[in-house]
Amino acid sequence: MKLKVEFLGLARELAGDAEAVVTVDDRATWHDLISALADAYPSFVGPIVLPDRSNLTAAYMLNVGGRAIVRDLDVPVQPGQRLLLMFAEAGG
Amino acid sequence: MTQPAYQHVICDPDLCTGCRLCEYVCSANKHGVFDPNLARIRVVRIEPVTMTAISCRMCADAPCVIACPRDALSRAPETGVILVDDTKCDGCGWCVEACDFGAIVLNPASKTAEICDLCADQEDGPQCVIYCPKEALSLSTPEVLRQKARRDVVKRLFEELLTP
Amino acid sequence: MYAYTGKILHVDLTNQTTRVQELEPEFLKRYLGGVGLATRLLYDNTPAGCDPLGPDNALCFACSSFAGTTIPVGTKHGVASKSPLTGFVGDSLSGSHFSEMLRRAGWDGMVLKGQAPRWLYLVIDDDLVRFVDAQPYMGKGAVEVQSILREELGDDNYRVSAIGPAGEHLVRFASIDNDGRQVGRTGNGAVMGSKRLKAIAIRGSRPVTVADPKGLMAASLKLIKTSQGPGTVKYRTLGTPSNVLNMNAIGVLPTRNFSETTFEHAETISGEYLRDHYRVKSVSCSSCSIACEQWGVVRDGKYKGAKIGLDYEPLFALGSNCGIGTLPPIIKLVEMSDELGMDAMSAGVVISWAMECYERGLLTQEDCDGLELAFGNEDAAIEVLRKIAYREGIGDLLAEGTMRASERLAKGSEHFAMHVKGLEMPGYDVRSLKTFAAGLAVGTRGACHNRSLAYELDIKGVFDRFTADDGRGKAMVDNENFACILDCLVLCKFLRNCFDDFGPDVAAIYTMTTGIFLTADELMAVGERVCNLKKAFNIREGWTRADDTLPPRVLEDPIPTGPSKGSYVTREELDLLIANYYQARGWTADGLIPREKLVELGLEDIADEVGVDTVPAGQAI
Repeated sequence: MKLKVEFLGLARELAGDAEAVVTVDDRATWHDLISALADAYPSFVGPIVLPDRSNLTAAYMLNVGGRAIVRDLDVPVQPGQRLLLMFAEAGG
Repeated sequence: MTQPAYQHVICDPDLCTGCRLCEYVCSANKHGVFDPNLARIRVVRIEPVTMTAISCRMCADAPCVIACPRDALSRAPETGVILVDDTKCDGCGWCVEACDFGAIVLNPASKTAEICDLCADQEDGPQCVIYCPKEALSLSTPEVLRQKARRDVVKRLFEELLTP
Repeated sequence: MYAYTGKILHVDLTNQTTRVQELEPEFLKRYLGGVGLATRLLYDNTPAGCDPLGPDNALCFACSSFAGTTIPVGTKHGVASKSPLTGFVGDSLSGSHFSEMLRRAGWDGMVLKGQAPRWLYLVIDDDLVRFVDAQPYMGKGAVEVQSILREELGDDNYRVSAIGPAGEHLVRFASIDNDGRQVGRTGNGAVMGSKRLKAIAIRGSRPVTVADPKGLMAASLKLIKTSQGPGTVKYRTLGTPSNVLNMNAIGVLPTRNFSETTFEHAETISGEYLRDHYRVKSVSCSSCSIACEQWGVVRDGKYKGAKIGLDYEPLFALGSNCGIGTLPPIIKLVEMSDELGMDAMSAGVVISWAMECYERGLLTQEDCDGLELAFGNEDAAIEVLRKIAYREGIGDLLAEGTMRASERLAKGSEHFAMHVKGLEMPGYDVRSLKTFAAGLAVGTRGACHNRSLAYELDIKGVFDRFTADDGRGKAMVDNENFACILDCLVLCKFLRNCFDDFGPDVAAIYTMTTGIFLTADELMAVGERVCNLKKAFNIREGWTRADDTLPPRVLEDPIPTGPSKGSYVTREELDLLIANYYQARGWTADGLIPREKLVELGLEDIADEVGVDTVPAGQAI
């Protein structure tokens, strides 16, 4: 399936784009999506994705629909959701 | 080459954020206390975004050495740093006036001049360079700076040519 | 004693005299510095019930424990007075070099009382204090006057804290500026203005000596390096303006006076847009290794030449919240706020309140001195901001702050007066951040994100932000205590993710700095102590349970559109969360502090004055 991911903050700068469409297996988990993002954007590895690609760094989070934060990476991704790769820190 | 290319601490003003950690580090390293008045590197911040750090630039024909009436200042031939002979220096301040960069400290306690010696006492070199959070400080020579400037200008030139 | 000087400078502006108070290490260890020490000085020097803008209110400054050392972002100062906005504790913080100079002049803090017969500024040269006529500098901007005074005094080493026209005209949310950073919130600039004190110029000649210079240097280097890592990446790349798109994406970006939570022009006022179009560089406060402040310059057009270090809070307040959707007028407005010397957050929120009044016909164009004060009208916003500082026309009403202005106008405008206890709301629409909503309601200085930190619990998903339950009190208390420890040390909150083990690491750094042995437990206890001290101050000023509440809009109006559509905080939910918080604090169901609690926290000396003899909430009788 194809998933659209919106990039905010550093992710947007590193990707050079505000969003991307990532193709993953139909049974892909969040973990697979993170790996796919790291493949598509190697510069994410380090500041956004952990070097072993097991998770995002503490600085970043994946938000679904503007309402929920992805916490369990082994859960399959549902198609058709708005996905946001954004800073976890909210301090102003 | 007649004039050896001495390294000195340079500051990239685009990277310097004006935090002044270098001043604290310098005074702590040299005197064990935190006191920017004793720091041999000082940050000048012309509010709000214009800032850089300045320390001894190891001038050729160093005006401070020439100005010293007591011959207390001399140059170390290998490193180029200006050495101060404390037994001769009486804190008259001629060297301070002669320095175009305001890089010489007159220690109010010892009444002697103090000048950046690139942390000769430290194995890993100038401590300000090590502590600078933004890597704005580095050791360089005028020749290396010229090379960098030339590279940068050519890069900019090509960027403009390649950008539609 | 190292680092600390053990001395507080007391200044009586009425009689232009000074005296010195000596402090013991045991006392300093209980409050550390910054907000903790400033609040304690306030408690001890301000009589209950005094007029915040009268001579009895004590304006208290305190250095951070680490001021003038290499500990990154450890050179800040706290200021506290009785707030002219809230009538409760008004504690605020600022970064930069003033704290270093206060320490190097030989002072851990200052207490300013009285009222000068004519406008003065203070010149402090170590222990020599001069009272100088400030008449030539009246009307000067809060930032520009600092350079003018340095020039007059003939030494760049002077660091200056100053007020602008807003402080001179007793605007209730006036700020005190130093080095372009502000003691911004709760109106300490108005308190300074009420004392007819334009500025304080300090020059210190003492070095800062620490107990273990080598240990401290090593600890500093480690923190400097860690602070270039993932824990600060947001602050180092886009700074706090990155919040605009984040908050917009999750439907909490306050828009048009907190009526909506997504803004159609969020992209063009975002941190990302700022970086690509206006940013010139990021700059640091004193000793800061992070450098979050993003300086933007407008290079052409109507606002050509406007420049400011832009942070999220002023950006939301004067941007989306006023319906302004481009950066140049926002940069102009924030620059004006700083130079006029007022809190851009409160200014933005009171202006957005007036804009909503205008759109609803509660304020007419005539009421607004002919201005069309509609949302998005940047020219009107700029003019009304100026009028506030000088209390001209409509500005005189708005200079009173949102709470008083809405009480005076009435006509139902209280419904959308966005403040808690009189302090205007920060840049989070809390209708879908329910833990944080309660955190703002119980805040001792009113609606403050920095004191609560509970937004993290909601936004990072520790709790479901759309619901409430009774399992959140302890986390709210822990976050508030943690924020308070940072405010007392002082360490910048942006460094908070840079420690391996915060308590032991920071306690060790404190001991290396001051030579005063402090355990991790003792450090963590300071947060709870000072939170209770602030509450005690409020209780002494007549606080009641009814003061811990939220604006009616938060409690009644569902969010109309966007990802958070439909959400609002019911009164039952708020009561539940607050009760849970009081219980976690060990307070009574009415939110009062049991006498035993104060004794337990080492505040036995105020237990008789404010403590109650009762059973804490949640304990069976």
